[in-house]
Amino acid sequence: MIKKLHQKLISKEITAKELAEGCLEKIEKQDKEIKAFISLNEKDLILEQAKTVDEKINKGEEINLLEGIPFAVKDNILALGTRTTAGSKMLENYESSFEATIVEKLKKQGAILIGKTNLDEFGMGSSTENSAFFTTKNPVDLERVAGGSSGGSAAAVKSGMVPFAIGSDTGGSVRQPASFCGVVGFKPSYGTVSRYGLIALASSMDTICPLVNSVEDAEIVFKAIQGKDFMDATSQTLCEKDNSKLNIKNLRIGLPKEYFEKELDKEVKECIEEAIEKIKSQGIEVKEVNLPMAPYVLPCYHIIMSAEASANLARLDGIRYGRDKDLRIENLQDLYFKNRGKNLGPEVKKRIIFGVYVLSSGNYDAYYKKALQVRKLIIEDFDKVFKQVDFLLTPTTPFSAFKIGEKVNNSLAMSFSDLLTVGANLSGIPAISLPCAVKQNALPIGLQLMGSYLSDYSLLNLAKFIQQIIN
Amino acid sequence: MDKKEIINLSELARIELSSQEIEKIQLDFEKLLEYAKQLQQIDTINIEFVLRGSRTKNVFREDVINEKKLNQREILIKSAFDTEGDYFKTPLVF
Repeated sequence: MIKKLHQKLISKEITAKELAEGCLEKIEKQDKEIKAFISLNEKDLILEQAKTVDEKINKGEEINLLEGIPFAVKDNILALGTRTTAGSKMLENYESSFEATIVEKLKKQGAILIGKTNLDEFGMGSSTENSAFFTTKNPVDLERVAGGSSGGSAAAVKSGMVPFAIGSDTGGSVRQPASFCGVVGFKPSYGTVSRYGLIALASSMDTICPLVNSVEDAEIVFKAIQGKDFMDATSQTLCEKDNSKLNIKNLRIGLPKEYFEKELDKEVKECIEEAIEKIKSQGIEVKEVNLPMAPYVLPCYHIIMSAEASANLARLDGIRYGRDKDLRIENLQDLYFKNRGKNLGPEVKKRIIFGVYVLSSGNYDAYYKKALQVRKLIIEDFDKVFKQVDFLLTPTTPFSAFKIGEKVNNSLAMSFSDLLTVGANLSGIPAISLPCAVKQNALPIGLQLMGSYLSDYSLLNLAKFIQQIIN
Repeated sequence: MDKKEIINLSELARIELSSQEIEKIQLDFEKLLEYAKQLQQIDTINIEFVLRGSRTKNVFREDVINEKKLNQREILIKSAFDTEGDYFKTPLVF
């Protein structure tokens, strides 16, 4: 879609102003119902940026692929001139104090920021039902969730409000909503996209990702946002070397047995199996492989994520930001307890407390240290399997979008939607969810492809190829 | 998990919990712990830690000021509830 829009702009079939207005109109029409956005940028500001792009085009100047393309950003990523709430009452009025590197990069390319999208509070959840403000509805079926935590971004792209959106994926928070809504969600290798300006949930797993309509779009956005950043010591630049070219004849795709043994919804199983048959019929080698650590990825993830979250959210002290003006407090302890007690949601509180528990002396060895050791085994598990095959194929989620309210009171059950996605976060490997062809009126189902660490460009090339075959 | 333990943890986490919240967390905790205990099945003797799962290594840089970020003090202080000059002001510590 992005290339098409770019062509239309340079051929003057549409103006950047019309493109931006079109997005704003769609948002005005549909967002009262869908509720993808928490905040929108000023219309005048948006149109002024569009005007700049149109002036360039009229002068005959060359413009970038992303120039004049409207986009949205998950509301846990800072952008100057916007509030960044992280979906929390605590930060309801927090005005972004600096700009995230990826937002800076996209703006430099000329992309136009339309607004900030809804999420589960601080990224904790799989449906946006944990947002302090409202739940985002799935554009395909308004009685169902859009997924989470990047539900707002996924819904904004699916409903055509913006051509692309940015989300963050710590345990599946981009791939799962992509699967639920029927769009493409790409989680790059950990470290390839700077996290400067992303409100941290679990620093060793958080990844900033594009949510888009096609794999080609995912690659365009990834190229624009990836790269080493002075402000993020865990970041690195990925070069698109020659080995990103796909050799179909020698391709080996692995189906991890354990990912198919799990309780998959009948529709998901059938849909993915059909896709696998289509791929096999192209003469591609598809074989069963083993990931014996698979049953342990989710408990390992819960422990590490909660521990890191409890440390990261300790910064919400109400002193530098996030102070509730209506609170009557006597001293500093009071401020911490009451401000956090009142303004953090129940899921957030629970995870922080669980994190504190697994890190406390007496429990540290049995839980946190254990989880870190298991993590090493999980990484080795993936490393071993990538010696036998080049890529892995699995369903993205065990089930399709559930109804709003269905799982909100059982967070453990809700977290099972991440069963097949967290492995990639624990091991840092790249993963992408593609919408699979489904019967008419059926809910979207995502097919997940994973590659070895830093094989992002190869994975994207594979995904482009597979996208054509399965649809 | 008994109530006392949850209250103790909430104090460590600096989060005030109502009695209903404590009950709910108690229930959720039991489920979570059952689930987390599965890791005990795995033999991890002699397995090293991985603090950063993505094979990153420690990096150093020169101790220089990033000129781009020099003038952020004003805007950073803006978000605070209480300030005095260039300082964040906190309530009484005790």
